[in-house]
Amino acid sequence: MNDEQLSTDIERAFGRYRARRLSTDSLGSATGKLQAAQPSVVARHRLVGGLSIGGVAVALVAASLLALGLGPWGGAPASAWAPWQPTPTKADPAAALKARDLCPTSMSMGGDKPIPGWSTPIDNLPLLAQDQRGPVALLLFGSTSQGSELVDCLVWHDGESWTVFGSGGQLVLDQIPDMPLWIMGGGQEADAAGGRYVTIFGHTDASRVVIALAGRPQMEATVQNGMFLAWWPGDTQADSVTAYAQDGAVIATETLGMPGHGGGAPSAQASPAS
Amino acid sequence: MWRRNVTEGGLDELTAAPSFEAFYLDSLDPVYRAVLLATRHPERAEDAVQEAFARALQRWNQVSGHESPRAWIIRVALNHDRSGWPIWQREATEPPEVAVEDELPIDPWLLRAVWRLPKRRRQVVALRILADLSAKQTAEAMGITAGAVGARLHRALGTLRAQLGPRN
Repeated sequence: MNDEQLSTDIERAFGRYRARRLSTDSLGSATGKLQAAQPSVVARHRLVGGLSIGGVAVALVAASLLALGLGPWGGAPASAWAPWQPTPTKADPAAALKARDLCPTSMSMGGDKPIPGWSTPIDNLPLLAQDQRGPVALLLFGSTSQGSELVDCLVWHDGESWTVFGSGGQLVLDQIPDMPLWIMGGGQEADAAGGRYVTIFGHTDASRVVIALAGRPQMEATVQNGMFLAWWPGDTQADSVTAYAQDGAVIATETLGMPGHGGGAPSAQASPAS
Repeated sequence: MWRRNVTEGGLDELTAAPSFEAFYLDSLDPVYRAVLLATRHPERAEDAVQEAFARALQRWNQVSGHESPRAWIIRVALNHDRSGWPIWQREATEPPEVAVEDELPIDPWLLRAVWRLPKRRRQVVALRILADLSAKQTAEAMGITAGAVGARLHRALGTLRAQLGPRN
């Protein structure tokens, strides 16, 4: 069987799958929501939590931290991941500058500066937080205002050139609930070479946020501008996220439980410490 | 081209809307199939694709001028799929069962073999074959070179041929 015949057979095999057709009005309604700076259809999934489920202010996306266990460091380039450390290092301003150039390109078609499907060029989004660990930085652009677009992106400087490992994409920020700790996004990502890493970010009133990783030492998140932000290589599960006040008191903990093997809702809980 | 009349209760006025509608009707299924194969998750694929088309409608005057609006849609859909779903929703290990009528018989082994291709090869098959993107458009969407697209497609088809060989 030649390539052409095989391609035709593949096309035919998948021809059985059809998407639900929406009317233009229905699609227009969706865009209306977008224009009103509400969370997009997808962002709603990401931000679902206390805002939409009767006061239970737990973002289901907390479970995006529940990385599925493969190798401890994934297929990441050792030279990039090796200097990783559990405590953030001093932020490299050049990383933010480079990220503005490189991250949209990594997410868009043909290197277009604007991110496809998004209205705000990354240049117009302020740097909200930067989690630097050695030569690799996770950057979060946007603001904590309702309706702000958020973009996160991981970049690496190997001493000579810059590499973008990827971005978790974009979301529109809905109203931040009145909680000391609120996980907004993150998840397991993989670069083009198959290197894996996990990100997490969210809102916090705390001065310090600590993440407990399954089977590994706990790590400190970067806390900046009312947000916390962290990344780690591989796909290790996060067990919990704890927020501390300046005096060291625990003010909130989110416990992240691995769901059943068949998937399902996470057992995330957000509870002010007593 | 379309414009939204937001001063009159949000009533949409779509002028020349058929061009979007024609694009939607023509591209919806191929795009869905490509995103379905790339994500291996029917629900996620459906959501991401509808979201992407909604965004395209919102700015159709710009998107329609894109070299490949279909490639734009797929890129948006895949971006949003990555950002929007928690990872506990594992990918399906088997292609979804759907009721089909009046369909020519297909080889279920082929469907399953494609479904189980390694991710990057599967993505190339999704974009090049199911979405019918060019090598250049696929390369841009995946952030690799057109040459790499060709190589991965060649390997993917070779893998499939090797697996299906005894059956053909």
